[in-house]
Amino acid sequence: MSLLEVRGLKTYFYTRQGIVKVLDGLDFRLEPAQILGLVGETGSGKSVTGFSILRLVPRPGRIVGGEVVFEGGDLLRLPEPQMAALRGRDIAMIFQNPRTALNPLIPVGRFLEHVLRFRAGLPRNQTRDEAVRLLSAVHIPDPERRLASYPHQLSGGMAQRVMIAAAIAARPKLLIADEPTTGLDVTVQAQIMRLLRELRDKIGTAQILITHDLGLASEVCDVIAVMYAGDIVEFAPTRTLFATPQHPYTQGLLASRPKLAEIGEIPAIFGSAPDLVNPTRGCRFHPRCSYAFDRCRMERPKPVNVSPDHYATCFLLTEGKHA
Amino acid sequence: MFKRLARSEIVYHIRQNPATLLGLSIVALMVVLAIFAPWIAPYDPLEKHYDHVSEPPSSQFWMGTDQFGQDIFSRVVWAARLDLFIAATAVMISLVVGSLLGALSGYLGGWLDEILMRFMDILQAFPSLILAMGIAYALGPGVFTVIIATSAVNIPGYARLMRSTLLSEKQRTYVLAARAVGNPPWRILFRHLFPNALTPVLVNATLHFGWAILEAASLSFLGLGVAIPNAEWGVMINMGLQDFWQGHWWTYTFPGLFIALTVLGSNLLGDGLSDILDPRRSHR
Amino acid sequence: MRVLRFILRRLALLVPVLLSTLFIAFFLTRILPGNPIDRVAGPYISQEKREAMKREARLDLPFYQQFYLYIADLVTKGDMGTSYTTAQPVSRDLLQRFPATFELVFHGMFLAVAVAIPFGFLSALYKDSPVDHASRVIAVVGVSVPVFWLGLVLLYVFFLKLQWVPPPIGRLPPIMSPPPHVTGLYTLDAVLAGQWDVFRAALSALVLPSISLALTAMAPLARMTRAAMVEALESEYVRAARALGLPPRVIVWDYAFRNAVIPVLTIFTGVFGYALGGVVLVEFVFSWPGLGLYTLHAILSSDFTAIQGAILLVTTAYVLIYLLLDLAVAAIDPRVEV
Repeated sequence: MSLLEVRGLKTYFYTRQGIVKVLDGLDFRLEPAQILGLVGETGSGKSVTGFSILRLVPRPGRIVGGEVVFEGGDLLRLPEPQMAALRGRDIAMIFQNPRTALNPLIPVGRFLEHVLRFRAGLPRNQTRDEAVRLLSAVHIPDPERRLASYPHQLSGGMAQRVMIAAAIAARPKLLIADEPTTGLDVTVQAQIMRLLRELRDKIGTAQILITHDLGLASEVCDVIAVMYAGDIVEFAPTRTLFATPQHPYTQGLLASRPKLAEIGEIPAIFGSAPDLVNPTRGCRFHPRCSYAFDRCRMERPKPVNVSPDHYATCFLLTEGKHA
Repeated sequence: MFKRLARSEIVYHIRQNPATLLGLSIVALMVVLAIFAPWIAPYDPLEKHYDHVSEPPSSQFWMGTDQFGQDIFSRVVWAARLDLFIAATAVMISLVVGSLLGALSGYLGGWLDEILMRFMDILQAFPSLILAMGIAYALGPGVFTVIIATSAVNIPGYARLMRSTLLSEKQRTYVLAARAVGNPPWRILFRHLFPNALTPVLVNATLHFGWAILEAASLSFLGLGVAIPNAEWGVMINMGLQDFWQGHWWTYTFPGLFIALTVLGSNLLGDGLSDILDPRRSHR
Repeated sequence: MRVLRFILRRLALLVPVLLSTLFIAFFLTRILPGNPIDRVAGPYISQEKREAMKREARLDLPFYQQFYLYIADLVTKGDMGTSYTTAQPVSRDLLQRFPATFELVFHGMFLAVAVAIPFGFLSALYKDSPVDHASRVIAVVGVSVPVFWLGLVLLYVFFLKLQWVPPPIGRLPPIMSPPPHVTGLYTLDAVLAGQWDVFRAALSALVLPSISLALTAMAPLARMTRAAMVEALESEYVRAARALGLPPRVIVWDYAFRNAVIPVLTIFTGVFGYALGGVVLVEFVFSWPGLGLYTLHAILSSDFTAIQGAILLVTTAYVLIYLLLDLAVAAIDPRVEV
């Protein structure tokens, strides 16, 4: 059984300008100890997906439909107290700006002890040692001294490690990482990525890595789901995605990465981000697609399997008009 | 700047914020009272009706009379004129002096800026009424004193606003471009920088207006401002205090009510304006 | 030890404030046309008496020398000159009247904080609820109402009509004598001496004046508490804490409230300053024999030594509160460099 199965997830934002249908029927699946990369541009709905799984969608957003099945149970049907019991224990989340995600008034050690006490159920006399253990597990040097540090005294990389330590304190089965390395140095990025992989290898934590950086996702993810305007347009194991991308958007993304060996124009995907208040009819990508034809403008495409573990949501696959 | 706001947006904001409309109406009402006082007031505010001393509200004297037989309603209306005039003048002076000081300070920078801002800090932090009392002592009681006292205390507010706007705009490309082309500093100031500061200054001025009325009334109430028995809201409350033991509540209740209403109106208006003109600022 | 250096450093910054305020007070008194002596003494004094008074007040000396000598006297002997209206040393006057004002301000501010903070707190937690709207309305009204008018209205209702409180003629009814002097705070001293009837009388005299004072200070405090709490509750660290599943109790108190306290402390000085102005008005309405009335009478009679002393005292008190608040913020917020 899959660890997480999202079916038809709909999350709408009720704003002054109208109802923004950020997610309008999202489907994907995650296996235990699998690392899934959720890749997309700003506004594609990737972060909202993460929030929706934890049912922490900020106002004015609301989950209006679908199912989020975690270990067999639909999270969206759970009463709030039970959902709250899951957070931080079975499913955890880390965020983009680690230093602002930490309470500036509480030293790191006490923060970890809070989490250990309330989420991992550890008795008070054991929390300090476990906190030290956690800090060393995330490779923070001199963990004993670090317990007394305040967030503003930490570097970005260290703060993110602390967040990760707190997130894994209760050994969650699923960790959602929302742009965990955006804003960190490239070297630190690599370290954090390595840490995430280590978590999967050593404790078997499945992860959803939300990022806009396809290259970053390729370093650590087993499977990648490419998102556009609230839909997953392509889903494949990493190597397959890079070798044989099927969806025009994926192809565009891959083509627009600057390559070290080549000099020349970088092809960009023309057009701009879609308007989700009045989405166009048909495929949401068609205004920017060089291959668009009539059917694309009329109907929304459904996922089509290219192989058992690889699908894309595009009419090109069914019409066979692929190059 | 106002052209930037679509009419529909203004309507939307007002509907979201009926309090703003209320504030505007109250202030407008007071302004009308102030301007048309001579025609609205049935009696001369200083006319003493010796056979109707300390009478409760009646059909002849709508708000009753005070211990000198003066009609309270007429006095309240005339006081609106005096108090609003004082407040408006104080705000004007404060705005001009403060903005100029702030702009100059920001533009010139250096140690002059440092010293001036430090002085502004001290001025702003100090209890305002005490400061106003000090000024009243130095200048002696009177309308002029009240205006000076009420404007002096708020100069730092405008100075800071102007200065911060100036500092943030100074770096902007269009200013650098204007300077590169050879525009003289004052033209840059007036054409480019001042309009940007207009919004927060307007909001500040509205709030300052209400506050100035409070201060002016307070000073006069203490006997340091407008002299008894002129028609000024604070003076009227002072006279009401003298007469307190007889239980003639109408002598102080009405003027105080008008003060509270006017200040409330300007506070609501100021808050609403800040929401409308700068939607990024979250009050809620 | 670091704390001590912090305090000293802050004090060092604030001494110039005191000096400059005093300077301004001096300046105001002596710069105007005419003579402080003439203004305070009136026209019915002989010319030689006038000259003698001027010399005694050092008005024949250059300005800077007068200022310097004043400071010297103050620092070495605590001498601020003699009041022309009470004929007592100003320092004695101030000491005598200080407890009354302190008691009033203390009770007023205590009340204000005790009501405003919980209201702002609840307002933020239940944002946009009827309670929230109601308290915001009250806050806006509170800020608009003149404190002296409020005092009068309250007096009318609760004294004249309902007779629940004593008349506004002072801290105690005329027949009662104050408790043995320990602090000068009648409520405290009465408790210490076990004089419960005096305690009750002193407290009931305090009720209306402190409520009047409190009502004006409440509004900005409640507003800021609410705004700070809302900002804290919508912050990134609260969101992360929620995502980690920390219990709501911990989130509201250790995460939101703790962080919200800091901006509230920061505006507290401003509110206190505002209350200091309000206390003058309240003392006037309730005939409360404190420093506010003293200063007012001094100004009305041009008693310049008294005015100088009063301004100095007010500034000192203000500066001390400022320092205390700074310390409090530094104690709570680890980001402040001590």
